[in-house]
Amino acid sequence: VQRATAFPAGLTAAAVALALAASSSLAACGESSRRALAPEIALRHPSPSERTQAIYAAARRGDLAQVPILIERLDDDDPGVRLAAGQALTRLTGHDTGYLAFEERPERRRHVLAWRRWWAERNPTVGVSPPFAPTPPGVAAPAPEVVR
Amino acid sequence: MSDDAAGEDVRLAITSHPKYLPMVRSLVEHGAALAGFGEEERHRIVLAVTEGVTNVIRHGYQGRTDQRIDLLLRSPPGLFHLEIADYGHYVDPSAMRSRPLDEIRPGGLGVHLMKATMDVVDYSRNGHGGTTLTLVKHCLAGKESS
Repeated sequence: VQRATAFPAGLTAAAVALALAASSSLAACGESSRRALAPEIALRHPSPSERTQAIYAAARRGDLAQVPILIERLDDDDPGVRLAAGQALTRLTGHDTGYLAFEERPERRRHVLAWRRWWAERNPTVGVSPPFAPTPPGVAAPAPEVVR
Repeated sequence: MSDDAAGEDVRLAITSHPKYLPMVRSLVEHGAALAGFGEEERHRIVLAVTEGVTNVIRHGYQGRTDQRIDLLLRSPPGLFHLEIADYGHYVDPSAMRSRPLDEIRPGGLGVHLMKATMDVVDYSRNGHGGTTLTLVKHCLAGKESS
């Protein structure tokens, strides 16, 4: 079992932009961009299709290190990404909070918080990430909202 | 439900007989239309799903025609998401690897076709001891026009 790691705080917007630019030039040469991208980058790709593919790939690999990012994707703006993230989390961990990808945002965010707590309890070194970290470049930012 | 939550589940349960494939094709055609895909893309998606269901009959049920197949479709604007679940045994996707494309003969190109058409082609074990094949495709035009 892979050791869980914290949400990669060192992954700056500039690093994401550089990686995406590199993947674009590879794609222009006929190389698949998804093979060129690290999971942490692909899971934040501006394209919902790429994010969805990255989520299923993480589930197939049994990649528990991506759980914190998958939890954030539960509140993705794209319903297909949310659906994939919900399924991947349950597939990877066996845990199910009853999350539904098509619920309203406040309900989805309650599940995000529940997942974060659950994951942090099992991975004390990870800690709980701050509520709703900045959205990656190219991904529409969620509206600010207080979740009780 | 939110704006994009026209993603209600649509379920179809059939037995594993090829005579039900036209019903599956009809469901998929309508689902892809709801998602916003044009005619050509809808046709490709229908072909990909037909290959997926045919693989379930062939590999999941070894050709038996009296077994259950569950289809679950979600197609809000901009998304086509279909799960095909069987109650057989888990099928290793590598066992369904298509023949090489340069072998000129009909059939056996199901996985190629699915992968060429869909964003995601994912096989996983399901709670019934069988396999769930998930096929996903995004449609930006469908999302923008919704």
